[in-house]
Amino acid sequence: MNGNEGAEDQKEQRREEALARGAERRRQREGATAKEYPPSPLIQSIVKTLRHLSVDTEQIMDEVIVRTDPESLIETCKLLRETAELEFTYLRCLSAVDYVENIEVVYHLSSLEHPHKTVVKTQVPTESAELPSVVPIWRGADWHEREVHDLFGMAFTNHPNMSPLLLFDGFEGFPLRKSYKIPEQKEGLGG
Amino acid sequence: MISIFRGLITTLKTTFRRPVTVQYPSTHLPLTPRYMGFPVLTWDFKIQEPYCTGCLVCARVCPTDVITVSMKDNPKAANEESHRRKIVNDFKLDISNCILCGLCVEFCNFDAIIMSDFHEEGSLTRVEQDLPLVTLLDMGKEMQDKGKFTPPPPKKRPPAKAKKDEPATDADPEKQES
Amino acid sequence: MDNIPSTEPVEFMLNVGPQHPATHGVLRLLIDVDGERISQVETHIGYLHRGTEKLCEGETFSQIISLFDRLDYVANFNMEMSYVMAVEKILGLDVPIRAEYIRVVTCELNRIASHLLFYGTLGLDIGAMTPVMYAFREREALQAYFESVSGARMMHNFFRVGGVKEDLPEGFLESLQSYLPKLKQAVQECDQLLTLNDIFLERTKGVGILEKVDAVDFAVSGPNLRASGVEHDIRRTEPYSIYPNLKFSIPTGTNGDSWDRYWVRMQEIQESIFIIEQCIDQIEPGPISGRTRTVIRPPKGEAYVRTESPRGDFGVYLVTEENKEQPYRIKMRSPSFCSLMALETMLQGEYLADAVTILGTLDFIMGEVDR
Repeated sequence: MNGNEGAEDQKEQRREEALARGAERRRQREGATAKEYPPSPLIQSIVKTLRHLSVDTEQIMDEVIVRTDPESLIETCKLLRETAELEFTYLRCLSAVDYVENIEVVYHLSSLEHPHKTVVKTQVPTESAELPSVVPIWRGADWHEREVHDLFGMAFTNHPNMSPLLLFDGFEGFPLRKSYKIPEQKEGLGG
Repeated sequence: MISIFRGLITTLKTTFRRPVTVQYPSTHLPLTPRYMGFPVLTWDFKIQEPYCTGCLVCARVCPTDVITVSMKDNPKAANEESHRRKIVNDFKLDISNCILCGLCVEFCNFDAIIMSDFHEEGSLTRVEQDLPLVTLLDMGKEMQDKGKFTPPPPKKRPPAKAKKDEPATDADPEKQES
Repeated sequence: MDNIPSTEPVEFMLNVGPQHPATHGVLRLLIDVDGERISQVETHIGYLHRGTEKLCEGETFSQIISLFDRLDYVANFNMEMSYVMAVEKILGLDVPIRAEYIRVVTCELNRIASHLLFYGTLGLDIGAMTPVMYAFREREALQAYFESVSGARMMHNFFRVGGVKEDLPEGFLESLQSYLPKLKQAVQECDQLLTLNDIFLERTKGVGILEKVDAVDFAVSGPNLRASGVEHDIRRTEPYSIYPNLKFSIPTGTNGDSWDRYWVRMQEIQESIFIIEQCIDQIEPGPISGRTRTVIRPPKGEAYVRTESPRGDFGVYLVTEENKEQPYRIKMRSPSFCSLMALETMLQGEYLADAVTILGTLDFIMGEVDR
């Protein structure tokens, strides 16, 4: 039994490797290579603003990514919004990604006064998915947070109204988690 | 006040124009050549068999999983009448769930499926919405009569050469493999 | 004598929707009224929730394009645009210049079609029957163009990762060029019917004011944001595709009331026609797609792409895994969703009869709100 599983694993691994090689070759053939983006001048000012907090700042493609821990999330967001040279007043998007052990909540921010944008990311363990709400900072986060609460089971503390938004009352499970199993569909009407 | 009269003049101008509306069930608007109705299967008139080999590509690429296909050995390949070793055995298309995206046509390797002009296929029961192979082929023949389908040039040949040749009917050993 | 109603103020709750002609879809509003005035609003959405984000995780990259058509079902090309741009960004793929032009032409045509629908239905909402006839006459012509390009009137499935599905049909651009003056004239007709009409002005001027601060705070975007006096257009601030080569101005309102939102959209139709005219002048023959990609396996990465859809800033957040045909996660940031969030603030203190006007001028599409 064990040996069988090992062989299966090896087979799977070989397949993965072959796929990776194929994908690489295809990318080369099509001239699709990772584009070079100029380094953003925004990083320095963000690092300067957030120097007393435990954050990681890096640039991936054209986005400046600020990784923060849940404790300093509110502080980070406040500073990003209120610092004069940053002024991230516009919450582009708030989403969550389920990485099985962790759920990552991603805040896409941009500024209407300055032509720059940034991404704030924070991770919380899936079992104790809880984050402070950013509604006091951006009122536009309201429904986005309710949506994440619905679909990922993330609790946002200090949120004014955490009732279900997209799903109906009494829906069981969190559909966008990777562990969610889609129930079998019934045939015919009402299925 | 003036603005209201200006609006009235605008409507007055159009009052004596020919109507742009069409009385639908009795009159139909012309369809454009690229119109995407329900997908249908094509018929190879030279060999008298469908182009479809039942390779399952369309079933796999369909976003709503409405295509069910099965494959069988082609009896005509044994006595070398056809170059298709395998041929479609059964084909079912559930048009009640088909979203007319055209992906099956795009991904088909054998030009066996085309988007037709048929778009008024309502029926009273759900069973009638499952179109079987025979119906699909009949619909395909109707589309081919209208000239909506040009037989594919043989594959594995440079396109410039294929243009000169007539579409091959003879057995192409390499094509069977693909 | 007992039947005389009391003059004591009574709290009255009015339920609007989910099936109501003014809600343009399935939206439910619980409106608390104090006499004629609205005191509080509770919005209920989710009646059209189809779980597109979850569905996308099980579909391949080429299948997802057809799902995006069904988000904002009035501006299908614009939805596809955001998605294919997100995949191209992760792949680092360049799109042939002709394909970009085809995309922009179809997107701008779709913007016109969408705004015409807004114009017609707004007329209906406030009690004018005629505008919808004029708007749909032109919309029909535009849909015929869409059909000639993509083969479908609404759910096009036309854009592909790395290009478009097919080249424009023969004689399309010439036909479009000869049609655009007619469209201009028709838009002028529409203008004469409604824009400065006294009754229309009474119904819309000063109604449903969305303050600049609120608009930015709620992340309202597109024409609704511009009507509040913020000059913000993704095509200008974060130019994508070939928009850097094109000249256009950004119509901006001053008061943020219903009339401004209407006016901004009518001006945008003119700008879109102008953009299409430039595209017709600039477009050159060439390839319309990179190598045909049947199976797309992007590298591990993530991209957030935003485009200016007719309703505003439509963003796609795409997370991929190495060598997977399916995306790991797709999040759509829809502009209507954010506009609806601001609704509760906007409706407070307005007349109940004006609620319909405000709903109409916000121009949301429930397919995109609920996803």
